[in-house]
Amino acid sequence: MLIRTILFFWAIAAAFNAQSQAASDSIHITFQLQYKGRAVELNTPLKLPNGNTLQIHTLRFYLSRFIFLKNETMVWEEPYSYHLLDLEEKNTLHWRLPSNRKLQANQLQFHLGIDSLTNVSGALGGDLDPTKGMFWTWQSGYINLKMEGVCDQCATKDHSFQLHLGGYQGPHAALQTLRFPLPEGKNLKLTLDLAFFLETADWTKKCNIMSPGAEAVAWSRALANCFSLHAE
Amino acid sequence: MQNKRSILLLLAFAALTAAKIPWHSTPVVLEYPASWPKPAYDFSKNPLTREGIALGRKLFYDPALSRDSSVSCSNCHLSYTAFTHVDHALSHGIEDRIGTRNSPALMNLAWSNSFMWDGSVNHLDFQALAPIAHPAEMDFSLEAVVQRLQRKQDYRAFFHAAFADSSVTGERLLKAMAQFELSLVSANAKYDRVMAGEEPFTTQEQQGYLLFQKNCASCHAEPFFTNHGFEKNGLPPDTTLLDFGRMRITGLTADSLRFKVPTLRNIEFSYPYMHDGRFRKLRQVLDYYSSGAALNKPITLTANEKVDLQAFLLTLTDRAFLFNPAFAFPRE
Repeated sequence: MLIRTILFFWAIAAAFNAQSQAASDSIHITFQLQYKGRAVELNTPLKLPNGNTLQIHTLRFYLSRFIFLKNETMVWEEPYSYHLLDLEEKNTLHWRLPSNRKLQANQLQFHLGIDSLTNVSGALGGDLDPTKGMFWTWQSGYINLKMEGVCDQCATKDHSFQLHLGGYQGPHAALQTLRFPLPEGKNLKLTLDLAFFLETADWTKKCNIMSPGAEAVAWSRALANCFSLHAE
Repeated sequence: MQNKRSILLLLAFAALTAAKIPWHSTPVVLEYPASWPKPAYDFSKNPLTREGIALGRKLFYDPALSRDSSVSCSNCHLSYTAFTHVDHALSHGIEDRIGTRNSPALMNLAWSNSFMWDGSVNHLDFQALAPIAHPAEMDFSLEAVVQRLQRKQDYRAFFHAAFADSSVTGERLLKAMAQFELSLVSANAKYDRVMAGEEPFTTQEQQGYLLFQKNCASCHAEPFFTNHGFEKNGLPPDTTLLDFGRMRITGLTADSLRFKVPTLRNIEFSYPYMHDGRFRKLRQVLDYYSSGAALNKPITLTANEKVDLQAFLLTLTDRAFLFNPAFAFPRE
């Protein structure tokens, strides 16, 4: 009886140890939305330099195909690498990648959006399940990024804007590839600082993009340039 | 004594729980003529099973997919009429809302890699999303359908049978529907039996077949009687619908008024014809194509030749497909 009890507690201890080992061997990435270097939440009024105010009500986007590179050569690729980040769901804003210690990688690369092959691969599950509200119904294809809110400058009902950026075919492929030097440390912060994007966009001209096209590509590119990766 | 009995009962319960009956499904192999090419659909990602097809069939006939639970897929895709909406030029959805296009006939979908009149859907799995969400059709959302079905005990059993898990997900729902639609193979028309050397055409049908090969087969290519492409057939756009077809999807002016070439199989039953259902009779279609207004290279047909061509087109009727009880409303 005593031996059984010892074995039972040993098994529990081993399980906890394995879990903490896995955690210590991984890189923890946290996403943070920023405006001019400061963390911002959804529905926070942002004062633009031209005096107008903008609020973001929804921000959801896909980050996919995380890979580590060592001197430009891929040394690790995350399996089934699709992450749907939703500013309303805090648990989607942090995730783990394996430790860089053994791989000796010096760069991290990932996509903003979903690649064309995945777009034509039929129904998929997890973060790619079409019930997530990130798949167009009138025309097949994932919405790479959804940003919705209000801006004084938008001449629309309630001054609302809706950016549904996507498209995977030909010149209208909106997927963006981002690559960053891999900082030292196990806790990294991926930021999206909207200052440049919001301040350079002409909100008087276009407040609704909801189909693939040149504008979706241009806005996707502009947003991709607002990401950065730092050690915490 | 009491303690021993309790322990025995607990042990028995644990043993029963551990010895789960293994889940298994019944594989189904899609049957089609040996002369046909391999399907475009990748079955490795959604293997056909009897249970998956049964679930897809149940979903296809269930009005719970529409917002007010009034309309199912079968409302616009009736099995006895080549899975299209017979007698309706434009299909109607919930609350008698009228759409902008004629519902396409459904068959041999495993060989197609784009769907809808404008090719807006790139994969059969995704096809059901469009009518579920369209305001003039089911006016609902996949998320809402999943939530609704999750509450139904019978569906949980069907999903478990098909996917070894009773949870309803969007992925599983779409894959099951695709499985049922993939099973809709029409390959037993007189035409098919003639091609297999099992019976001959009549003289009139043979003459019609030659006319078909000369004038129609470049777009309506055998054996599916479609080239799966998008073509302009010269029809002026309806002034109320202003439907420019494929251009809406590609944004290319070259695609203006291009529409997906429909199959001619079971054409006897799939009236009315064209993307907006403007022709009620097959004869009207032949008259249009031979009018000189239709195509860059007009088709010239005498009155007798039209009769011969029509006789051939009727050999594409597959009654075994149309009246297959496995495709009809699932009576439990």
